[in-house]
Amino acid sequence: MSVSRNNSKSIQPYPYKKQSWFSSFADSDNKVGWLFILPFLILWAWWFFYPFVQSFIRSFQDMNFAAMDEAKFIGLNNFIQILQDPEFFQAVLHSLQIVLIAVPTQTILGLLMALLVNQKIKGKGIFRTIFFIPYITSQIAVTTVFMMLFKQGTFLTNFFGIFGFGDVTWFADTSYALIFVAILFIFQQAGFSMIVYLAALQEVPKDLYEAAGIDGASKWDKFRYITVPFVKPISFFVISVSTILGFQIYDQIAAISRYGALGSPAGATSTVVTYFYQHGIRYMNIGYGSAAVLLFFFIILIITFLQKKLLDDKE
Amino acid sequence: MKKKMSVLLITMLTITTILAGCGNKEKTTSATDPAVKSTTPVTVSLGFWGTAQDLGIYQQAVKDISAVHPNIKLEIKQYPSSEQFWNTLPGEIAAGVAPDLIKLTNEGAFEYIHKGLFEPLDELIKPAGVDLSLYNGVDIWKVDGKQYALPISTMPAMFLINDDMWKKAGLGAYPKTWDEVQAAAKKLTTKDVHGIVINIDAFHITNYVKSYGGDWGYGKTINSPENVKAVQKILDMYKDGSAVTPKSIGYGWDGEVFANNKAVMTTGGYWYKGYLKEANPDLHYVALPVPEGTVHNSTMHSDGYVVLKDGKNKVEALQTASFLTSEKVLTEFVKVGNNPSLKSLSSKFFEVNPEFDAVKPAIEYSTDFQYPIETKKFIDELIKQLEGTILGGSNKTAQEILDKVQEQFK
Repeated sequence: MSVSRNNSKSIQPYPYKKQSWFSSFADSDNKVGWLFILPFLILWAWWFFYPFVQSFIRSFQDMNFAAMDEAKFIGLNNFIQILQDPEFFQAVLHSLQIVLIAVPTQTILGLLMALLVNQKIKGKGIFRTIFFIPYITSQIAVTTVFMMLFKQGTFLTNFFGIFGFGDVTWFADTSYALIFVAILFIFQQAGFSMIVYLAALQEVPKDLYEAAGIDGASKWDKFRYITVPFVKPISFFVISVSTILGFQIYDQIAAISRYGALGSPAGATSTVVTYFYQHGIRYMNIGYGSAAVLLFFFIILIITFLQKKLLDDKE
Repeated sequence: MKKKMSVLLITMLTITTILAGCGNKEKTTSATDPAVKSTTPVTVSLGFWGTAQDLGIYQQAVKDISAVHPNIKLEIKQYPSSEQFWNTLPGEIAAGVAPDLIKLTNEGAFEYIHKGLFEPLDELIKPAGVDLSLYNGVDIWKVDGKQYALPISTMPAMFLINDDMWKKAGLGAYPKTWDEVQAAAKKLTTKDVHGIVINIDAFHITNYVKSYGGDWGYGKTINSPENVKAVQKILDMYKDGSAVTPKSIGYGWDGEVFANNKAVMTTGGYWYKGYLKEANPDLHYVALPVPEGTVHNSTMHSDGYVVLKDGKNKVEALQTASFLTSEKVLTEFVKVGNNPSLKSLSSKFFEVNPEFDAVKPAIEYSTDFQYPIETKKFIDELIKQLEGTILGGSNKTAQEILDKVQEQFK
């Protein structure tokens, strides 16, 4: 391939030579880059890759915390048992429900908040801070406050009563507990989406809006045809990250289940993570738990892949 | 070649630096230098959950232990609740960061003992200089002839009544049976107050079960007719509106509901004394034996110190346990309502805690929990099934609930 800038001078292609991994590493052009990322790679291998490989191996073993030396290879038995357990599918369903309710809501909310604080309005710095505070506040603290707000007889439960919700303690009622968890997730995560969208909005060239205004575009047109396409790659990032975090939700459920069984009330808030934790850690059956984690990993991988494919196709 | 060598050397240097940073300095020092080992006190870590008053006693013990055991430095780690303790411990054991010594109750210990996580103390008793004959409740911690804990206390479950509210309602004599409790609870229930708080928790359910002559039989008799009767009584009290769960009115556990005057009666234990002293010192309560269903029976709670199998310095850990069960330390626990395991202090308990006097007869007849070996799984399943009916309105009968739990423990 050659690239010509003008007729008088052409740039010769860089002589491509297939390099081995090591010679690429040793190449002086790459060396500094490799050395910069080496500490991260080592820690990544230590903290992520090694446990992942361990978890993969354990998922084919009958292994208990109490007797780790006596682990036995049992093939696919753990996976078969999990796939025969209705509680696993209930947990997957709950995780999906949280993601389906919370991710679109907090993404749209994050974008709207970003649009708001990107305006020339008084006190926008204060608004930005207020919207972002829930994201950096301890999840347990936020959950505890929400648990007080959503107690039977409080203002909020009475308010929601107008829309047909019962005046009950939301986190103690099997019909409302999962919605309560989704609300918590939205409340905390929307601030993160807002910050990311805000950064993206500030990158949109102002002259595009000015030109569109001269052409008679309405505010909605500007949003639809300028803002949305510009923030689309960021939307993929926000949706992907929120989906993964939505699947990983744990702290809020643990706080709700305080003094009771994880996933309380009556398993209404059990998710894939609580399922893994319950079997792998609480019941000490680490082989079974690892198999659940591996299935969970592939569920997230497939969903992220589908999300990327969907957004790329539309691109 | 020179380039390759330099890159290789830098890589090795980076790895060595990181691994050196992850190393355990303390271990290296004591393993290589006997002189250091003999003069440096051994650190024993103690894990427990309990009230602020328990914490105060342990903080004092940290200061005092060096006078008796100069070879030991005590570190304490408090867990926020029993649930968090039981949930965290397996992970800590697997990661090798669990405390050396743990204070726990016989309620959840059987599973851990059966799975071999605790060290039998028989071999350690002599080198640690411990005399088991000084203690009551030693047998509660004996499994298959092996001793697994140094007992701290033994105390039966109780039934607690808010005396001011009871007297205000003019109900007369305190109830002795669950039928009387239910009748009183109905009268005591108002818009803001419930007659009785029944925490959907294995401890409380077990006390109902035992009072109807039932037990879990280590998983063999979960759906026995006696147990069904007991659970049915619980469901009946929820159905007629006289009982409430802590969760459904936004509280964590029964003690919080009781301390906030939101329920007049509850099942509970000696820990109420310490807790109420902090949470509501003005609350006047009476402690009674667990009411009778068909028989006199309730659970016997015993706290003990266990040494973890993978813990370091096991002899020193047992010496620490011995110090923590000495007269001086246990006298402090007596003040917060613990019936001490030391025989020499037994008589003092009811002198210091006259409010527990009525519970004295229950010491004779109360028995162990008898949960299945897979204790946590059993507790989770029992709670789930009961919550499904009480909080989820699944309308299952007591028989159906217990049959469902029994299915898991054939």
